[in-house]
Amino acid sequence: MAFLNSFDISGYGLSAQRYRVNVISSNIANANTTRTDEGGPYRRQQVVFKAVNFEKAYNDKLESENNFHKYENPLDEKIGLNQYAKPPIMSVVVDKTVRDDSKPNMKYDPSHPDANSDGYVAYPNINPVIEMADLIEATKAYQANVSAFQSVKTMASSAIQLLS
Amino acid sequence: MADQISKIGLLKSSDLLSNQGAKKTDTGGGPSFGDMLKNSLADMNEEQVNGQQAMTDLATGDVKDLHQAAIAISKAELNMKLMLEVRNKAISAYKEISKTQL
Repeated sequence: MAFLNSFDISGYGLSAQRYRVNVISSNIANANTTRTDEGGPYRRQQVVFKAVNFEKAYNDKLESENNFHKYENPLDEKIGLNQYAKPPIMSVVVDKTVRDDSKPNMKYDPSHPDANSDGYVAYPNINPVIEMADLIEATKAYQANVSAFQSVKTMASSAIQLLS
Repeated sequence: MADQISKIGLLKSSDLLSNQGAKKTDTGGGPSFGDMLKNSLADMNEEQVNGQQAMTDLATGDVKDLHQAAIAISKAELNMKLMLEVRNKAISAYKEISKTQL
């Protein structure tokens, strides 16, 4: 039903943030992993999000019936973006999981089985502090989506109460 | 339970509304109230079945995202509330008409 579309926006957001939390957890779990299937130490993974026009019919209808998406700030005209912010109502999906190919942390540990000829072991390029900060951010983003969802639900319930 | 709900949808559409549909006066073009009711009931039924499926998936551990189940159940809940309100309105209108003095 059309009045429940807003649920799906938050739903996509929740899924995306949950995926991000999973990737960050994977980074934290593998912070000391020196062996992977592709060879070498584990490498940090990052998530790239992409806006998705999840309801094309609705957006097209909005666009054909209204003109309120036209961008009218004269100060920002020259940044080269389209004058129309369209499609206006977008949700989010995970576009890619990318690998951070920065240099691994080299630690001197000659007794380690994976040490190179100089006695250094390549550890993953993961800083646990950064990962924890990302984790907090992802958790808060998830909570924000939950709040949006709850607001929409409260609004829908209030609208239904208008009938009685 | 999902099957029972499906049957309710079938009952509504086949038995009750077909009779009314035959007697309805043509109000010009648009869908009749019966058709609208039928469609919205079918929609509601679909949401109920989705919600039921989500609960089954939760119970059996098939669910991948907990929030997707929560969303499906919320949708079913709100649709049910809306249906109840519309039903109450329709019944009170019917009672109002049946009280008319002849």
